[in-house]
Amino acid sequence: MLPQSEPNIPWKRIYIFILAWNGALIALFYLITLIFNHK
Amino acid sequence: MSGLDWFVLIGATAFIVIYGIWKTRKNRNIDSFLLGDHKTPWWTIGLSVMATQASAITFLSTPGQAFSDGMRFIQFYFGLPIAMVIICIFFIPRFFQMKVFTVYEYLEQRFDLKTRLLAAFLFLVQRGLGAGITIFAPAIIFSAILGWNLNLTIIIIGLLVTLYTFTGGTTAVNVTHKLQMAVMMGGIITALIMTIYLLPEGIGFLDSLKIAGAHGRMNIIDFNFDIDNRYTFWSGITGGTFLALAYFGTDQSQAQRYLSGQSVRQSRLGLMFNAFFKVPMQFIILLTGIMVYVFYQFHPSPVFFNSHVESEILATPAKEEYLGLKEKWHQEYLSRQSIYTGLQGGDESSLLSAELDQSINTEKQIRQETKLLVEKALPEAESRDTDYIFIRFILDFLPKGIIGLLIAAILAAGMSSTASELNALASTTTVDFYKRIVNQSGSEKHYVYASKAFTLMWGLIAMGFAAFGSLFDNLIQYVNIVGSIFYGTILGIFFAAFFLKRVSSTSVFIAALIAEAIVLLCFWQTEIGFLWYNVIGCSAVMLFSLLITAIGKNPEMPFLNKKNPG
Repeated sequence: MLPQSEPNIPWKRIYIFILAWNGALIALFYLITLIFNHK
Repeated sequence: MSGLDWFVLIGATAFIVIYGIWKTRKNRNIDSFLLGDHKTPWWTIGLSVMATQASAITFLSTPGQAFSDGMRFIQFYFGLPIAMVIICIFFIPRFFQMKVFTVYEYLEQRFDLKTRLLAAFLFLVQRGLGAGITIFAPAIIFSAILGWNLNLTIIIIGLLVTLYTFTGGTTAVNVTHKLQMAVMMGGIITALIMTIYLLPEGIGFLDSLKIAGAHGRMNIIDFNFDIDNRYTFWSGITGGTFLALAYFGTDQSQAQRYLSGQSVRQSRLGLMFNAFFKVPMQFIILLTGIMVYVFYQFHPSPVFFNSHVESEILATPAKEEYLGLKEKWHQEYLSRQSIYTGLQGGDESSLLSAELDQSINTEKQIRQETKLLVEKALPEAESRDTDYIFIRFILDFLPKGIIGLLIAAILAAGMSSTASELNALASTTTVDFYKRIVNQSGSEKHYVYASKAFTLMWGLIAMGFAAFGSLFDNLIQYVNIVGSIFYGTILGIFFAAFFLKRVSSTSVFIAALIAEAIVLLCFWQTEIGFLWYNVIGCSAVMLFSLLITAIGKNPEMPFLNKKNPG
């Protein structure tokens, strides 16, 4: 499906990276909530 | 607004419009007009997808939402990166393989014409209404706060957007999106820096986060499972994923952005760009609202932010009561300053004190009483003032020039979403209805003219709808819900197409009608949060199409088991 001239892209790794990035942001936000939110 | 602000506002807006028209003046065929000759690189797709989603309301409402409700709205976006990955894997390759102009075209190749037309029709209804709102929402706020004439504002915004979308089609929408995103991000980052800069001496960025936390505004993550609570981690990760799947995967205003990509690779990278930056971008916008909240802890704030409604209430018999609440509000502000006295010297114990808790509760109570008074004295007026918080802050406290930049950013956001909507409405009307049903043998030139005519038609409908918008109560909220009422069903049809290989086209069509009826029933008869409509509609289509296909295997009901063309 991809044109022959385009190099292969490691899509699986990119998708895992994006999901990990989302997870890391959620973890960071949870940490901020625990540290700063008092209500 | 000063002369400098007008210069910045008009300069930025005119430059974007003229650049869009000039850059795309040579559109000759339908592929070029609707899909930009498939030449769009991934980073333009990414910016265009983000600009389409960011409407003026994003910039006006989101900081106000953080101000009044805290950061928890961010959870709404947690499903977005998951949806982007699913769309990259399952949607994009199929759309590119079948070389579609609109995503609904795929449904005819997979099922039949009536399923395609049903999905396209549902899109036209909800997006047609949405286009009017994306023009109306900023216009009503600008007219209330800046005193601009409402209808004139609607006409100016509508005409400018229609002009470049009419002239340059998808390419014009994509190239202007890059500039609009630059203005939007420049505006919001400047606003965030300014709010931090305006904090009193001795109060730094971390202190302001502690103050916001003491007021319950740093409630970013909520793991409690509560189906009636609109923004929790669970609703964001489930309902948010389904909503983002429906919006980015089946709404032509978004799909057209990545269908214009050079290849599957470029389109996928564009969506990955969105998946990476969207949550941080929303975080920055919400954080700006938090900083405005902290700023007002040290500066007197209005008890009601919509100055237009405030002047109206002062002309009613409720004037004395309103002024009483305003005075009470000011006294509360003054007494809170004594609580904060030690804070500037580094003593944070006041943030956990019972006095501050008491003060926060009193503040909440006065705001609630003011809202009720507005509802009682002016039943027709909008008693929710959160959309006015950020714009009022901009006008009251930011320096000359920056005000112009931020108003330009809000206008750019309004124009960027409207342009994508008009572009997609025109494409769907041309490709799915006109070219498919009315005239199948026209020349390339003919369809370009038809697309342009439909762009103009939808532009005029959007402006007309926006002009009548003020006649209806809570229109903005209603139209947001209308989106979710249809999205689940449309997504269900696409999911059935991708994942249920054995279902017949007629069973999917009937299942979609049943699913839509169930969602409407939920809307009228239950209190379920509207984010869940996406899950219900999608699941119902899949479930009923399987069920009807199974029933159709009964030889007495052969009409349910019509062979799929694709």
